[in-house]
Amino acid sequence: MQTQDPLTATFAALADPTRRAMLARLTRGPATVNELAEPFALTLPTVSRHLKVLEQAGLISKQRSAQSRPCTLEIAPLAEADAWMAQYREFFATRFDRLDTQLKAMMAARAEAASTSTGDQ
Amino acid sequence: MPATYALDRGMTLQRTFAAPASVVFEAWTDPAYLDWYFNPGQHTDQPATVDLRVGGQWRQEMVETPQKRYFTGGVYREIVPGRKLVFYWGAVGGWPELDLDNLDESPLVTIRLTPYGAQTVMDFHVQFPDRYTPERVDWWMNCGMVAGWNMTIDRLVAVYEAARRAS
Repeated sequence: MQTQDPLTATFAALADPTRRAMLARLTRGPATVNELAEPFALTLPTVSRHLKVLEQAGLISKQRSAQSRPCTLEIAPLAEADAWMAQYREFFATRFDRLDTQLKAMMAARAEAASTSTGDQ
Repeated sequence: MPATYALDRGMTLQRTFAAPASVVFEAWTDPAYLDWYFNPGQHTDQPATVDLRVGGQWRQEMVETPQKRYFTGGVYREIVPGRKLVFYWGAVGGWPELDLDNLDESPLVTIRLTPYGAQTVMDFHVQFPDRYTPERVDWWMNCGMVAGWNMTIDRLVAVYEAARRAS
């Protein structure tokens, strides 16, 4: 795990639905471990383990100064993951542009066939 | 063990086309119209084949460059003419590699067509089986596989940045 590249660490951290829910909570602002644990039927050690994964992936940071040590969402790894995924979305977007062109050709051919048959009547 | 896709790891794209749903469905399932799936500017002399029934296969040669060509396609899991098409993505001996005895090892593609006036809204969804480890999903992606996480990270980023700007 130590040699994992940052993007792999980000996606591995995001692969868990509980961790995603925790990140979603943090988009609303910093939260303490107790606040993050609240919506889940999980023990505090389990919650701490999830938070550790998120912290190691750089997705959250813990404020060392405050007594409650609230967690804060870190945006950089998410933005990086998003930029990386954009290229894959692009792959299909390009394909679907071509589908659009194909459909226009099919519709034009049908319209022409329809007008020809109408003309025959 | 039956395939489950509950984690919903995948990606979703939505497009609206100026054609009835029946025509969009035809463009996906009639080998005469499947050309759009090819790589632009390339040519294949292998005609696409489609066996449009549940368990039937669709096979098509992809040509990225004259040197790099491979078969792709799928095995149909659900067919609702003009409305819905679900297939395991891949081809035997192709890419993504598909094992007919272990179809649930393959990514699942779901296409839903919804009429919207004279237009059609297409929802396109690729899902990875839950049994894939994150590493396996990552491997697929790095192989050029189209993927992502449906948690829509971009939306998460947008929400956060809006909140940060407001504060």
